[in-house]
Amino acid sequence: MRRIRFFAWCLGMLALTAEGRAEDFVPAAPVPPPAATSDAASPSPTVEPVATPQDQKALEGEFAAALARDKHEPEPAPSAAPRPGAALSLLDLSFDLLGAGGGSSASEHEQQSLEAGGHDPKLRGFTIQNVELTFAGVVDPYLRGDANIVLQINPLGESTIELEEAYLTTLDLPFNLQVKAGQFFGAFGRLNATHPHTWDFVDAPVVNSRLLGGDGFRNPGAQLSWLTPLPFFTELTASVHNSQGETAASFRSTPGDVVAGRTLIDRSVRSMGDLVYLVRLRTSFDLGDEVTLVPGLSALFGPNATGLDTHSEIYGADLYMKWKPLRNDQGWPFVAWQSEGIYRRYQAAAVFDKVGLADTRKTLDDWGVYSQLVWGFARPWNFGVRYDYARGEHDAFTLAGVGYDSASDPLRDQRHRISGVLTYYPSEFSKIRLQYNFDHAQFLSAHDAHSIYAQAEILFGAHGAHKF
Amino acid sequence: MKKLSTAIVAVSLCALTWLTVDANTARAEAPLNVVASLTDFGKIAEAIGGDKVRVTTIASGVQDPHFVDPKPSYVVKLRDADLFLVNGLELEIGWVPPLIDSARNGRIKLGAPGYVDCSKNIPVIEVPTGQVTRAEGDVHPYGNPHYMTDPLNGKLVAETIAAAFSNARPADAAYFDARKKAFQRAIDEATFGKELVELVGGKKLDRLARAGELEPFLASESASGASLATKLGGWLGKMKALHGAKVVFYHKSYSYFCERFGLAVDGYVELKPGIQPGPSHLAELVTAMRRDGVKLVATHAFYDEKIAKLVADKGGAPLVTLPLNVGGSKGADDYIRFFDVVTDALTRAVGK
Ligand SMILES: [Zn+2]
Repeated sequence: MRRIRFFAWCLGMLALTAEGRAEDFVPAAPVPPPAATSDAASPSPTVEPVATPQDQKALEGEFAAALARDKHEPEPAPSAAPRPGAALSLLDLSFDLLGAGGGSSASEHEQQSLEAGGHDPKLRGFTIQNVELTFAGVVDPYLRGDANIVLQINPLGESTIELEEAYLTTLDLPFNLQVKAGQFFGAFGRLNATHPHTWDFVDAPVVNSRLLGGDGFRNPGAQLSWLTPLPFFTELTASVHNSQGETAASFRSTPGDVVAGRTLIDRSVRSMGDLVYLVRLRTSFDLGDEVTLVPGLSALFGPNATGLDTHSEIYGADLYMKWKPLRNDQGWPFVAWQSEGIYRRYQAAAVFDKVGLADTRKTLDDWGVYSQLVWGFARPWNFGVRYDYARGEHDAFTLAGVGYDSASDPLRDQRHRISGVLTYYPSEFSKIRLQYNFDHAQFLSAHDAHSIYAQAEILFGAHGAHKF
Repeated sequence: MKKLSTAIVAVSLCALTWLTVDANTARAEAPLNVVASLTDFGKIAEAIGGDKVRVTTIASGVQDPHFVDPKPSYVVKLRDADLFLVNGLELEIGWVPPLIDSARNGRIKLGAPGYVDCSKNIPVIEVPTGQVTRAEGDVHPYGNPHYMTDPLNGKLVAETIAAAFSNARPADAAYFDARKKAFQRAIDEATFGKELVELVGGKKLDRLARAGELEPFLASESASGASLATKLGGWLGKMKALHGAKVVFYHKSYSYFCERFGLAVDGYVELKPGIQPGPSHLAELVTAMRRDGVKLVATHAFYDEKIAKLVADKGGAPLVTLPLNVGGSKGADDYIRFFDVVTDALTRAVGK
């Protein structure tokens, strides 16, 4: 009851602040809306003989109760400018701020491995997960350009700036082809190429941050995709990328890093085979008007730097299924189910220590899955659950007879995670979210961890395209 | 291994060439492949294009046209389209641009002749002036995009669509033109009544109605002894009973309709477009409805029915659920029947 009253108060305040501002466009409407005739600054009764202040209060109460269950968000409002015959659209700019606050029963040190994604909350307290500046525009009749600059405050408290993406896309190639070139996310699976503010949970799935890297797989490169002439949606994508750096974690990555007991060497590109290659097949089927299915298969091939001739292969399968009734209230209700499984074969070179051969050359099989269900049960509320499982191969290798030590190599650990999330969208351009994670992992001193995070997002600027 | 991959590349190239060549030769004789974002344009395209076009529509009439998911299956429709008819005025901003981006079809990209913005010839109303921010909710910055609720605008859209068809198929221009004229004539007769159109002519009636001079004109003129005002039939004649009636709408989706048929909008359930109102706004609205004697509250099926119903009940007016697009309710199967259904529902509600 108290909560309902709080809502009512919030709504009242919302309406109050609303009325002081310019009315909706009505220059040509025959009769002005009633709000304009009443005292703009006061939400309480006007001078009608029909309604006493008590009546109005009672009415307000009834509406508040009716509204408490289903509340609403604004529809997309594009960048505003009157239409003087034609508007020249040169550059769409937008700014997105995503932050979280909370903590875990695991120690802060353990939390860094528990939340391995580059945008995940890694600290007790607050995290600026992602501040993103987006630039987009049409270059000429043939090309469009997109760029995202990401600013973050890392766990050491330092501000970092990163060129997350900057690429061109062709607009008018024949044969339903499209080329993308520059720095961009590889089209692997469903989540990898998306930005953290579009995610349904506060953090990245465990398997993604493990096998594709904390920041996801992205590197300078070029991509060709083909929308096939089949009667149902089928898209084939192939791309080639550089293989070094922290955004190619399963490949050449960063020299000096340790993977499965091997220190990564400074391996150079000697042939085309030392680049990373990606292929993806994505299709889609409609089951009636209200259910859509989007299955996909992906693969990545490239060198890794445990040795001079070692390779990594990553395979992924993903499935997205969405139900939404045709007669929906601004997008609600809906149910969306998304799952991905990712499997990596990682050739690890033989490793030597002071004594001699510590481990022979091995091929490590690492894999993981996540499956999440998001239910938009009443506008503007979503509830989601997610299950994560990931394991790295560690039986296969022993270093100096010691075997696998989960505390020193937590990214190979066997992990389970169950998450629940509740999201509220005041508008399409903002959200507030609360998430709970239960983690079970060998490397945790207590084996189990409970974490709670609140998250908030604001986006202002150009209206971004909706992805399906 | 090398041989295998060469073979695969060769086979795919052959397939590709075959498919594209096939598509190009087919394009010359096959009906124009027309995709419409909304049912209104789809139905008018069918009326004008006849058997020279094949029309597919993306959103169904029962959907909220502001909120449509850009599903991959729509990308396939657009991939093959020769023409893409859209509402424009940023009504479909959330879903049409990503569909065009994914379709990789140069014929229908923004600015290409196959991209047909049906708002092109429309006199847009409710264009906001001055600074607009999202604090005011979803203000359509180019003005009210729901222009299809005025039947006379349907004739302008027919003009736009017929021009696009003739441009794509000059050989069939006469065919399209004749069918367009028939469609426009049907709208005139349904709007003003057949007799009046025969007496005065559709063009003149249209001009007078748009200038707001129809009533004085009809009152001043007479034919065979009777004032022309008695000859007004069609939807305008039917709606005369509601002239000046005060109504409340959920969203500003019927502003063009209200202007055409002389309904006086007393307020909106939404305080700001697209944002759910707070209780104080609704209480004020209900108070105003009682004071002003509002005749009815109109909403669409995709909006929150409970709030609309509560406003109607408290304000002492019947609630009418109207379609926003062709196919949006039972019987509203084409652009003309849409207005039959709407005018029926409104007159019935007020007649009670
Ligand atoms: Zn609207």
